[in-house]
Amino acid sequence: MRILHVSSEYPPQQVFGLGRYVSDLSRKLVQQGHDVHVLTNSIGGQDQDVREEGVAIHRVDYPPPPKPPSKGGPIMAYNLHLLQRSYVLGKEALGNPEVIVSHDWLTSLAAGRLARRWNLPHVWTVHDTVWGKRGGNIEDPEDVLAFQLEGWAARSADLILVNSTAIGREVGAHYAGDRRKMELLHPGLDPERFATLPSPARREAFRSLFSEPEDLLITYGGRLDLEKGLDTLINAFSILKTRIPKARLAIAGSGRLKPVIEDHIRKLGLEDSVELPGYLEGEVLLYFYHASDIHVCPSHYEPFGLVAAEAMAMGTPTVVSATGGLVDIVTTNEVGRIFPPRDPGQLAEVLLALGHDPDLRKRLGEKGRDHVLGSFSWSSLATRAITLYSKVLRGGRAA
Amino acid sequence: MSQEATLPAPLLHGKDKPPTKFRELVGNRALVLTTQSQSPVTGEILRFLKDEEEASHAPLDLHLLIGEAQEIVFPGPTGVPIPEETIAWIRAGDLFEKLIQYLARSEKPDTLLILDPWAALTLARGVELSPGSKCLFISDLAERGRGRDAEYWGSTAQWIEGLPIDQVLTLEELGFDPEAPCRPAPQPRQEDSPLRLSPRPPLPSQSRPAWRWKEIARGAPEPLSTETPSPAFALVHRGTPLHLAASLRALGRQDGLADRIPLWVLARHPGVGTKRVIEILDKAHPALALRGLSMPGPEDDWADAARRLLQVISPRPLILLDDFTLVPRDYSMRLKRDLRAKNEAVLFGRRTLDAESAARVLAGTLDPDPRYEELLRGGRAMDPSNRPAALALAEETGAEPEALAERLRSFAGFSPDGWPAAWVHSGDLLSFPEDP
Repeated sequence: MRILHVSSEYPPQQVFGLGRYVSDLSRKLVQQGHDVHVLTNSIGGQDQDVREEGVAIHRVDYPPPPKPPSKGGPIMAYNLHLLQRSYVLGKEALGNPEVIVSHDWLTSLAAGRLARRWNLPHVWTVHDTVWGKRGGNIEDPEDVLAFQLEGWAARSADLILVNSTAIGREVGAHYAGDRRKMELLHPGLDPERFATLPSPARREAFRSLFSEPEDLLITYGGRLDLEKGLDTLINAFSILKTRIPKARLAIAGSGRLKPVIEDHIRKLGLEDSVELPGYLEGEVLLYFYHASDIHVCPSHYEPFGLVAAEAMAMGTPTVVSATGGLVDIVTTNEVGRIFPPRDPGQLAEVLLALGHDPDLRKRLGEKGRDHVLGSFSWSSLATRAITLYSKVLRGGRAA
Repeated sequence: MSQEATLPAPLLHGKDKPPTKFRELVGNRALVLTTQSQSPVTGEILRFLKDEEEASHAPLDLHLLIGEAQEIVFPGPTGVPIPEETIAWIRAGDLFEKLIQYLARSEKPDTLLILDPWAALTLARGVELSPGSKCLFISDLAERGRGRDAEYWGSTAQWIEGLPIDQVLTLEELGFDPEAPCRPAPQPRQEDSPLRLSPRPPLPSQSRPAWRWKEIARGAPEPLSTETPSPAFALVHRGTPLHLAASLRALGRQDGLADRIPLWVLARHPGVGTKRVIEILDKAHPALALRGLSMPGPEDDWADAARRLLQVISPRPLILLDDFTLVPRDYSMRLKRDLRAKNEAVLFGRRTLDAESAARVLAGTLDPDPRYEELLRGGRAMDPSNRPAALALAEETGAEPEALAERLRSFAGFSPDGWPAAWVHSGDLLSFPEDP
């Protein structure tokens, strides 16, 4: 199949993780014999057409001067530039696509219009929604714009791919998304990245960066943002610390909330037990997961929760809050543990039970790894993506 | 820019100066591009070209492309507005798509007449859309540069200099008062303001050479031919001015209209808001020719006003609606096809329009009710609450007003006062007998 992705980012440029998703999916589709083009943002402000690992990437010079000053203006101007670049390149150069796939509200407008121009189906992939991220408080003009574009995409797209059942509910409830044209496509993992676990010696060496061998090392990885529930985690850790004095917490990531978190840790007197190693990525991040005794995703809102899947793929027993896509990942008590969001007491109980039972941790880690590598492999998800794209091709464009 | 205009005097409003230079610059076949269809500048320039054509009897093949955003954005749920400049970029994308579709299927224009900066930016990125066409840009950048975001507008002005624009005409050169660029458009035909049927329409579409508006809609709509007259609409105003505006906007977005649709708004004791809606939309909508028809009250004789209406519209088919009725965007096209194919009545469905829906229709964001498809395709309603109402077709009755009146009467059921009072209420229309 010939597929054109329209994305606001593509590696090495990454802002929200979208680029990595598009890259992983595109490369896997190419490996399966499909022709994939990506129309995306530039690096260094230049139009560029390259092929990387079989994926044809067409970068758009943006932002060119001058940058619109109004809120949302640059993104809407970017969408115009995408349309213009697609016109200059022409349909053939963009792979003569059979289907156009956009990602979130950032490129849905350009993709929808391009699909209309060429009379092709538009597949809108929803990674998160502004409604969910803001808890329904849509007050900033750019959020209002995003909300309306999400609504337009929900109405006009031929197929809506949601990345979790929770996002599907959001799109249905708050955007009047037609459930008949909505399908679930989870993000995936590249099994090759997780095929081999670090040796015990290597694990211990890495772990020594954060804790002593006899400590209970609890970790978090992700943005330091309000919706991530770090308040719940730190408060739970403070309770746990009274029962397991040798517990340690490492919070990896960066974000606007870092000073608040540091202040909170100080107020609770946990400076000696909590560490913030900063932003980790690539192999280091995988080692970080693997070195943990328990990994926690305490989010208040989480569209999918790829971090949890990655930690589980590294064999780490993982605890998640019962929100968003996390419950699509930790589906049973056999593969992980779930606690109610915003409930530090419950989280502390779960951590305490796991902390006292190394055999349970080992069992959860092994089963969790098998589960995510079996259910969230890009190979099978890319095949499913093609099946879904084909469905909309067979059905033709919606009127 | 290849050169700056050196026009010596105001072109639009200098009554003592012949406005021919601007008219000459525009040429005989021009494509107007705007993302600011409601702006006074747009209104005045188009009005000038129209008047100039009529005065000179020199045909001007003028086409208009409007960048729109109402399909995408509408007044937000929290009341927080999206900045107008941001919406203008959305409109610019729409305009760009319309432009490339238009140019792919139509004769190349002599001139691209660009009325605002966002419309100009559709020419960015080295896109050569219409090689050989002259490009005129009516620039308000000087005025914008004196307001907020001056630095941005200054940079934009420099950027636009790099675009393939042949000539820039400033508002000042065209006679706009640069100190008051947003003054309202002239108020023509004050005599039409009261909700009275004007004694004199000729309608624009009846006074050839016509003001040949062709709003280019998405895709390639089939223009209505001249063999069968375009329908006229009578819309009974029963709701709020919001409902009225919503219905009129929905009608104004009909695909494939070559002429302005004659549309009478029938209202009892119309208020200021109703009159204002009619005045504004008459000016704003190139596809609608609006007239008000005041109905004094149920106790008075409606027949006289209705007969006058029928005399004016003959031999057009008449579509009866109210402002709680929505029709899909291609309704006129379907109607036209049916007229050609069967030479018989076409039925329309109705849908109750609540205030929220009216607001969404105004913003262009209300999804069409899928039941319309069923109603219109089958010519019959399947849902008892959406039973089809009637259309009176002049052709079927020999185009005689009296016969048409008779036909209407037969649809509506006999009314003791000699005219189908029931006609004005959709609720009553729903009880019509099925079209024989």
